[in-house]
Amino acid sequence: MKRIWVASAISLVAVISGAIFWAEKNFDNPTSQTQTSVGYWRVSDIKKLFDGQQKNSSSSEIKISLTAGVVGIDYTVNGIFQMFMSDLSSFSTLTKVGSDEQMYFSHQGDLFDRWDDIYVGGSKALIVATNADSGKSEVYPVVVYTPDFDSGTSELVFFVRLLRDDESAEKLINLYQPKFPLANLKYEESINLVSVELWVEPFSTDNDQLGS
Amino acid sequence: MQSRVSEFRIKKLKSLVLGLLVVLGAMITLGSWALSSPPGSGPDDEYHLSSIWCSRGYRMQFCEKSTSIYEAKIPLQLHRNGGPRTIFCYAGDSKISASCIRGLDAEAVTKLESSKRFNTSTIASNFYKTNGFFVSPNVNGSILTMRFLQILIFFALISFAIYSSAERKWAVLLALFVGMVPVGLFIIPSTNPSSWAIVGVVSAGICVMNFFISSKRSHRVIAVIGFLMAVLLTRNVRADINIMLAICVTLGLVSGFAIRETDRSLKFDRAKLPKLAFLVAPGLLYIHLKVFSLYPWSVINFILGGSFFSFSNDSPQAFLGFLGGSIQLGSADFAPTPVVLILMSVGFVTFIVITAKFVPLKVKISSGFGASLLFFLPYNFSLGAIGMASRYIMAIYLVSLATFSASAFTSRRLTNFKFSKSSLLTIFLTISLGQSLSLHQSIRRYVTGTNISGWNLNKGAQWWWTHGPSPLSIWMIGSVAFSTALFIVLLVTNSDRAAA
Repeated sequence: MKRIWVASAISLVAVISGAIFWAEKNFDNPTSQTQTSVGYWRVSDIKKLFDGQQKNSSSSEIKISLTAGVVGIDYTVNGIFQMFMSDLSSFSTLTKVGSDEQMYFSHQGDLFDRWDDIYVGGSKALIVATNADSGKSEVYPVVVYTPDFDSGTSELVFFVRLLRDDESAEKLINLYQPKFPLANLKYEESINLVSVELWVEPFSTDNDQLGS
Repeated sequence: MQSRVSEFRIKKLKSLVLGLLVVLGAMITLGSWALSSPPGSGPDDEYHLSSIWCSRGYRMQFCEKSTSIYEAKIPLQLHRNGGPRTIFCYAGDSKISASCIRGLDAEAVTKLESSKRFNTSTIASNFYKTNGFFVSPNVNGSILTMRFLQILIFFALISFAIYSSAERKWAVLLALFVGMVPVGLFIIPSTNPSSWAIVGVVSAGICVMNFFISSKRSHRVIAVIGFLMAVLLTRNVRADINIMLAICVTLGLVSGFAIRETDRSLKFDRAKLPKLAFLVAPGLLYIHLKVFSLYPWSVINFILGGSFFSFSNDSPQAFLGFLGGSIQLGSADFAPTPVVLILMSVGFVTFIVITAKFVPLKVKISSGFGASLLFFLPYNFSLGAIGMASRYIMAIYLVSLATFSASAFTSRRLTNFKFSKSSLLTIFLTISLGQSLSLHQSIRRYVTGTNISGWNLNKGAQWWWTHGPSPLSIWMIGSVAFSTALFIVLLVTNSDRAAA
């Protein structure tokens, strides 16, 4: 009697294991590629967000990218441009350098209120866009700073300048690896761009000014 | 003498192994149910999840200050009225899958919107606060963690009730296995406070019964600790929790008293009746004072006043709900298939019939009192604004079954009776199948919608968790785990008798 029980139990385990193996092999999970929602973030939360994930490393670098439908760049004075981004997606993407870990973050007017705390003196960035006049897709290396966060949820104004001679966008280009040729903004000229992505240089979560 | 000792040890070891297998089977079953439905599928989940998100005060990203003092900002995806941009996007139409959750846009998962629908009272605040520890930006992950927390709490509390049941533990387990399918299996691993209410009140009722029955000090101590833990956990967890506790503790008390007397002889000592009456009087008085509609003249007035339909409709529906019929599992867009109701009814009736002949008259009366409340209380609930759902009175149902089963144990032992194989097989097949088909339908409803049928849950799946076993595997694992655990419980319940 005991043998019958043991044999039955072993048979049951074998059949179920086989069935589970078959089920797993033949299952194409529709949700496996879906990005997990991560909630509502402000720039000041970024350090806290990554702190919990970097137990063994001293710091993380985070890439920020913004997407806008239309951008107008106008020359003002003293080598300064004003970049007006409209049709801005209300959410942008944070990516941890060296991994595919991505998360959204919200603008809602208060995203950039600490921008200057993070990017002291401005940050290098690449404007990847299609020139509305020539129809060519180009990459413009610039320094962006002091965003006007009162512009609205779908609009944003940055001050922009060209890179100085002692500044290089090489590291940024290596990181983002844009597919389009480089171009430069020209003083005294205004340009209109469409399908714009602004790739900002990564910042380090080691920055003590964050997350306080 | 030595062989007797080793026989005793082997028996003890066998009992321990089988007990562990039952616990494992029950855990896997509840885990499978936790995974069978997407976040937000529990009854009134938009209210409970918002309450959990705001339970620990204002917290950035989770619950923020609104312009109105009566509102708070919570993630848009937790708003029921947010339509397709929420985790409830599939609600209300059982023909569509939960695939819309995958399509939530960035704004839906990051934006906070003002809401009035969250808890501001002390009701269930402990439940919300405890679950509030697990709130994170990953809503799906948080809800899943909370569901497994409920399972842990269930096992922690019910273990006091089972341990203090001593030799009756298998009989109590059998009652719980019969009574939990399918509503209990759906509600326990959910983010609904009824999860705590059910396990807390049931544990309290059984512990009180065990306290009166048990002659062993350790069992009585465990029963007291279990009772206190259950009362502490369920304190204020639902608006009706005190009345439920009063009812179930009274049921446990009457049954415990009657079973203790039966332990000595099959005849009940009538001289003990005044003592029993004295013990149950406070509970009965409390129930009488609190549930106004149970006054006979109130019932008559309502029936004469034209509320007969409510009495003849809501109460039976609430009862059928326990067996998987009519009132769904608490969520309006999902109900098990009708065959579950038929299977569960057959299993339930078989269990009652084979048990009833050994139940002492006093316990029959007290369980009858509990059963009558299952019909009168829904009437009371439906008169109030809260409406009726089976989960509200589920604790009374489970305690009645447990006291019924536990009391039959004593008489069976005294007469050395074994259940017939056909009746055991009927219970096993009907309850196992009922559980398996309910779980299958629960997964089916969310992976493809109910307009698609077929046994293979993986085929054409439009939604599933990002990690873990596939829907078909979860169904198989859950079904086998439950059936194995039930099989062991039935086997031991019966074989225990022959050995006594």
